[in-house]
Amino acid sequence: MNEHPTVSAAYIDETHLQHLEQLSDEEFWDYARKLAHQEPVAAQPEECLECTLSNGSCLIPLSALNEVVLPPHRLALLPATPEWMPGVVAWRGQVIAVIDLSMYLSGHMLDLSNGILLIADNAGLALGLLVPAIGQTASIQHNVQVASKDPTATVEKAEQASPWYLPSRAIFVKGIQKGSLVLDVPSLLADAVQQIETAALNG
Amino acid sequence: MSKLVMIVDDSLTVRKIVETSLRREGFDSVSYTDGIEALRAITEQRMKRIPDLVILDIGLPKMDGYEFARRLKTKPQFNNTVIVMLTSRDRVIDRLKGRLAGAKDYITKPFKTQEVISVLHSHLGTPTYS
Amino acid sequence: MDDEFNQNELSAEDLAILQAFDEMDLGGWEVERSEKGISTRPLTDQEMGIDFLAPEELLAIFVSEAGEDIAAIRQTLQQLEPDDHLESARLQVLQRTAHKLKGSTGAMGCTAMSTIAHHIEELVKLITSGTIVPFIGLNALVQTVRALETTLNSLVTSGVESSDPLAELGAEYKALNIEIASGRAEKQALSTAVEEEQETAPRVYAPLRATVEAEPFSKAPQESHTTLHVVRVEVDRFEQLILHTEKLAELSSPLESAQAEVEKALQELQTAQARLRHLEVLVSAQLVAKASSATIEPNGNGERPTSSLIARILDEARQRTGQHYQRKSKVATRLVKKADSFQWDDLEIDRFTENDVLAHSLGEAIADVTTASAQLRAAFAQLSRITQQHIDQATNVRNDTLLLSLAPISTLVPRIERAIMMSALAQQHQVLFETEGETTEIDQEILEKVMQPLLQLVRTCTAGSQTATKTGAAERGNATDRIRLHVHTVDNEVNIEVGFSMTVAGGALDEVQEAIRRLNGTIVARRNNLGGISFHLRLPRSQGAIQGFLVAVGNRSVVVPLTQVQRIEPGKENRGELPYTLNSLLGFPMEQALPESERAALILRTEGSPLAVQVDAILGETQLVVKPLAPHLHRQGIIGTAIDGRGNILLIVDLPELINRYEIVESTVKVAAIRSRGQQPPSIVQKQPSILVADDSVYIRQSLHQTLSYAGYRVSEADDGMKTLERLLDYPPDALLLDIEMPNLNGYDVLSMMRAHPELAKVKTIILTSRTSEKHKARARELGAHAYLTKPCPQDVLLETLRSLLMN
Repeated sequence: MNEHPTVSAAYIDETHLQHLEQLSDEEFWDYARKLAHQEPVAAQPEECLECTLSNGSCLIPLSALNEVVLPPHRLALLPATPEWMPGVVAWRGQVIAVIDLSMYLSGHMLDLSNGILLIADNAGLALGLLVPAIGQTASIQHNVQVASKDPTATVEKAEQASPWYLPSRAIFVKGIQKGSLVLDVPSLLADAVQQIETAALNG
Repeated sequence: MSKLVMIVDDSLTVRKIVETSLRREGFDSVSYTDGIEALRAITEQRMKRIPDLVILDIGLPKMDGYEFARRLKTKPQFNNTVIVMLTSRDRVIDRLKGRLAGAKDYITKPFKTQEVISVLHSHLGTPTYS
Repeated sequence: MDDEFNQNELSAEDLAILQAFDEMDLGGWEVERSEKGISTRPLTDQEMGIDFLAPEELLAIFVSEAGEDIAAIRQTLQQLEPDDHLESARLQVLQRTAHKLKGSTGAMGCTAMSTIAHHIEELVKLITSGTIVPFIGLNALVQTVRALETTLNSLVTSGVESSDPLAELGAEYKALNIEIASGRAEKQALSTAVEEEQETAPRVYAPLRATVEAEPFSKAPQESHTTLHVVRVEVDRFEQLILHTEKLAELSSPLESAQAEVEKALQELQTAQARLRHLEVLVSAQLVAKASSATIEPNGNGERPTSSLIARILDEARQRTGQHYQRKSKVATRLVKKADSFQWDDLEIDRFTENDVLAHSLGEAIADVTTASAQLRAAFAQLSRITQQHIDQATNVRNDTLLLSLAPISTLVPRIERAIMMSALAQQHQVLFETEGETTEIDQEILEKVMQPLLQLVRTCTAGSQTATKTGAAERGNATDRIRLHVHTVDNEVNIEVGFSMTVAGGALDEVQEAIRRLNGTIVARRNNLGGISFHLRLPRSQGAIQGFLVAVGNRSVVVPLTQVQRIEPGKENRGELPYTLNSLLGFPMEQALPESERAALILRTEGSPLAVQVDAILGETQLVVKPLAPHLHRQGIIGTAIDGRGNILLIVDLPELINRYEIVESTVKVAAIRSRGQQPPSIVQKQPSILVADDSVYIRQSLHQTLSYAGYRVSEADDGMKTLERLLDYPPDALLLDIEMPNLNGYDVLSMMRAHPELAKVKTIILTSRTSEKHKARARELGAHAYLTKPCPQDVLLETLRSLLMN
């Protein structure tokens, strides 16, 4: 069956449907045409948090973050984890993985005893990003930021500026704004979770 | 001049039954097994008259009833053709989909031939015999 | 391959038609309106279709079409049956054909067939939505189609539809526990069968929606479940929970006021203390002044008392009169009558008054402090009382929630019974199924998760493979087979025994091992007193507290469940062989390790030789609520985590599993090291290594026995899985040659069981089988086999493999 995109049933409730039923054919088509011609909402600029890392800084969208936790942190070591994962921490009754963001991106280890823990959300799964320090919030304009689908293009652009991160992580860098890396947090988190999972088998 | 009714349903039995009843009531009828066949008949100029009413099953192979109805309604000649859906579901959303596709009425399956006749009468009036 | 699949696909020809239609300009058509009365040429017979049909002709058309449709449905069903996972395209074909049939039969007035066709549609919907298991759904579909055919035949032969098949169908659905909702298919998160099983339960169950990890006082911010989780709850227990929660809430305001009282009393005490301190200064000054005034030189050296005005006046008076005025001490508050000089000295009165006042104030201040501290003590006692009540109610609430999610095991029994009845075994023999302890209650979630593995276990064992029934049938003749389900609890664990009186097909254990492990349970196989083997499952009863030892590993703490430990040995013992250390088992970085003699050791509960694990210190016993880790954080040997009062995370470990993992890693590391160094194997191995040969074929056992003993090994044999396991535990060999196809427990089962016995971790396992596929090799590797050889295996390959494995 060829499915035409009709109005999704999920967004219509019974009373609305009854109302639509009562309309005459003419009114009904006018209404439908009006709905079809609505402009999509313009993209909003995104608020980000600036974080200082080992050799540079990065911008993390606030929408990806749930909470910011100050030190001291009580990390517990878990066997068979990647080297950039210092351990797990308790947050709101849950045990979540903590990623040393600096080490994950650059391969360099830092002293994180006074680091700030950012609780990020990855499709309902919480993860901690441990960073040495945080700065201010900044906005990035999506129109201005070229969110390039071609990873190589981003890499070239980014590498010219500050190639302090590992090449394998370049796909998570969406671009650069004022010297800070704009990170594709969802993909980064998804990749980290995957690596944490496979580490169990190889550890 | 009798009104012409077009029936589109994948069951031969259903087509035969409806046609027989329609014939008895004095309507003319043509029937096809699915939307593609009906459109083929139209494009190959085998249908010489525009039907006054179309009885259309929804669960058709290849092209569902809504799609067919929509296609039909793109041609201005079919503006006055009444479309009646044959559906096994009776929820408001199904009726709405039908409306969106251009149907005016619906009959639920399984149906009694009497229902078909009464629906026809209500939309086309009782037939006149020439 | 089938044209059916192309039902929805438009062929090139079809697309051409669509395009032609769209482009058509129908202006050339005669737009006719019947009212206008324009006569046109009448439709040809062909266009109008066949003329009036006689009823018999119509019937013939209908029967032929219906027959075709039923045949199409049958064919599709047959294509579906062999598969485990049903292709949705075929299901769609089923639904569509059934829908068409429903329409035609309805139009013909054949209501029975129309209803049956509707059932087919509904069943497909239930299968697609996952509400019923495909296996059951297919079964139902087969029955339904049969009913359809029967009804059609009755129509053809007698001219009237028989309503019997439809009625029988209803009974068959009931037996399979399927409910066909007329009209719409309801989607339910819990399996329909489990709900319906509770008809006989005397208590009333009311559905309650709850997020899986929600606790009464804290909310987990994320929920990774995509469907809503429904938990059944007993109304009484729920009401008790509500009662306790209300009481708990009621305690919050008394708690607050008690706290406020304490604060107030504390304030008052502080005020009183301040006043006392102030007075203390005054009084001590007075005392000093008294002392100094006694020794004051006429020239006025000495300390000036606080009430310097009086002192000055006194001084002046002294100087004037030469009489030494004594200041009354604070103790003497009485008027002292001077017999000689009845000089009513105003100054003395003032002095007295002042002292008196001071003394009074002091007295009062002390009294105030005493009172205030008493009040504080009382307020504090009240606070403690209410806090204790609060804690008690909180404990009640917690217990209620634990009870709430309990359900009896008896809910599983009917399904297990049905699985047995439908099995191949039951077709051939009489099977007696008995249960004991099915009223035992366990957490509903665990119950739901254990159902599948239990059913799988029963199905596999009763599947009647060649090995089992061939030998079994000959031996047993017409004897009754018995299967039993016994349940009992020990502390927070529930033991479920599934026992068989006959030899069963192997492989069951391997299949369910993983699922049981995920529930933090264990499964072992043992011989039973019925003449066959039993599978013993141990599961935690509730996802709640476990008791364990808190041990130190470096500066970290880890919890070892009590059930794993037989006893503790303090550090002073000298142990013969090198025991394991928890530090290295966990792979934690080595920090300053205590000398071995000072480390304490946990002696594990094992069936074979004892195992010891050293830790840096044993800190005590603890009881904690354990939660499993999120899937990406699962690690072999870590059961879960608990969070202590201060927010520290404690790992709860599974020592046997850790040892297993350690041994596997160690042996692969050693093998790699030896290979890389290009070492030659030692020409003579110290003592004659022992090999256990496990294979159900006498021929294979004998030929292997010969080969191996000729090569200098000590050989023992076992002819089925259970015997293999028993020999392994009684006399652990250095290596095991294991066949896969064996009755009772197959090769995979044996490997699985070996993992549960860490004392067998050092036995080198070589699989020797006729199965060659990658899938089998991979499975064997997952289960911890060291090598995989296929039959027929050349002698030299076998011996070389053995030699290299035993070198470590």
